Amino acid sequence: MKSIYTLTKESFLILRRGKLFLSSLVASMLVIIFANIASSWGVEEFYRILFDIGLLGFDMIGGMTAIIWGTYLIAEAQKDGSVEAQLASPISRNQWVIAKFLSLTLALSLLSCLLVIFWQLLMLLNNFGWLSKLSYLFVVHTLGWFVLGSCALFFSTFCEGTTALFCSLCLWGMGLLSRIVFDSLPQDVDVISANIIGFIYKIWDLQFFNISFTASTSANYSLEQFLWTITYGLSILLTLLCASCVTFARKDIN
Amino acid sequence: MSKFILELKNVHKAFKLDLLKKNSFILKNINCSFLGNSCTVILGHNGAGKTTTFRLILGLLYPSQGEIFFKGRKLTYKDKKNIGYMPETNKLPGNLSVAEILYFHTNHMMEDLNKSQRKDKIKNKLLEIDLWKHKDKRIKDLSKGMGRRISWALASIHDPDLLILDEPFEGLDPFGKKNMLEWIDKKKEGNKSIIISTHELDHVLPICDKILVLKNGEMILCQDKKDLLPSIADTLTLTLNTNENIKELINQSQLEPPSEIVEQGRKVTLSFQKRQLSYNYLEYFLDKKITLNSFLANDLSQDKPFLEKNFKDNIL
Repeated sequence: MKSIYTLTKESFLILRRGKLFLSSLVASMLVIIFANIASSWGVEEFYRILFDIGLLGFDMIGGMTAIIWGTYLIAEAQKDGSVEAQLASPISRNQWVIAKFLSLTLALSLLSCLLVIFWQLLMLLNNFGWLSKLSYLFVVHTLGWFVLGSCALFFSTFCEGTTALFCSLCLWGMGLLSRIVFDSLPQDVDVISANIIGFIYKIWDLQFFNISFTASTSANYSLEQFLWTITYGLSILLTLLCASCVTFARKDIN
Repeated sequence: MSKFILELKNVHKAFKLDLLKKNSFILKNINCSFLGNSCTVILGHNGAGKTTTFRLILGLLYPSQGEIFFKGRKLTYKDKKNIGYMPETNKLPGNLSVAEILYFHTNHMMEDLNKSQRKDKIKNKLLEIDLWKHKDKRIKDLSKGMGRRISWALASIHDPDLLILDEPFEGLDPFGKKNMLEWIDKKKEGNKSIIISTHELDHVLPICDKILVLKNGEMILCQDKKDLLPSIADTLTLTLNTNENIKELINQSQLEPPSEIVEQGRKVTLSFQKRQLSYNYLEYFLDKKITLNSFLANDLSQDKPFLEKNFKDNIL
């Protein structure tokens, strides 16, 4: 356990000090500022504009950061050789993958917390009040980041960096579109295609983590729905983590 | 419990270059063992399999066949606590400072230390490698030679039983190479085993005890240095340029005769198996006040042309 803790701390420091952390933070802050400014364009829809634009930026930049970090942690570590130094210490392959995953979630959580604090400050400045009940929004959206990051982590355990990045981006796109495609399937589509699309939609639907509509509309978001989303997210995370451990376990580090 | 610190038994390593092609063997049938209190040099041409052998020992690669034993038991990741590794190139995360890298490394390797003990250990190590004043600098801001020193610190700070050094002199200036040799020599004490891979044979020959040669993935030699190269295990030659009859002087002395005397006109070359004997003879000649036009003391273990002629041609 101590090995996992130490390596998590080390990897987290490396991510936090990397150039991408500051860049993502600044880019996301700019989008949030823009969303705040844009929200004043519509008198009645200010809340909707704020959360639609703001969370879109939050998702896009955070998701991209998660994918790049997920790829960087393993694929780049293999490329620059730092994985050798780490695996030359008494840490098993599984512990190493788990530590990398934990450092990724920690770094993404830090990024998310900083953005939420910034968002709250801007809302207070514009007399929009406190986020309070809407904080669950950010929990769910951040969970979406974790899923993307762990997807990139999984690919990088057996592919090189560029391939892992490409595959992760493709899966991201697929995850965003699966629900839309499924919902817009014509009635006369063949059963096999419908089943395949339905299957993909059920296991890989990233729109599940997009609940910005609950802020911008008066739609109810119950505790049950929240727990269901968390369960879905955690089960994908666990699956990807286990798969990463399996693929990395017998891989030759060249 | 085995007397050997490390044993490689029938180790093979193959890579599949293509799905449709057969496996290509990088290492074939490696059988060797390493004792404590010894230093083994692994020699071989580029691509012979030296680094692959190290990676197999460290668990970065898995053997296709065969087994690796550490202190009599099958090698597991937990045994890495007793193994120190210095890679060929500096593989250090650029965004961490020198002290941080050592801190995390000692956390992995020496879990039992408390905070102040860990701090002292790091401080002493940094003072030893003369990087204490750079302890807060990020790795990316340091030179290559400093990076090598940090790699050495990481390999040795936890006092491992087995030290694996892949090209330890790479990137070091002559002063750095001298320091590295001294540090390696010090580490041999206390039943430690050191395995070095290097192209600079003349540097490590004085400190090594065993030589292992790899050629095209196969082990073609694994022998003690003194058995392999008895004539240069600890030899010194004196080349004297004098008009005196050196042979007669040697016969008159009560010292053990040199192992070889070669006369070429006024030039006489005396070879000694024991360095002390050469010093005794020099003292004897000076006591006798013989006229010496010149003399040259030559350490054959450092003599590159001699090594290349007598050793590399026969082995590689």
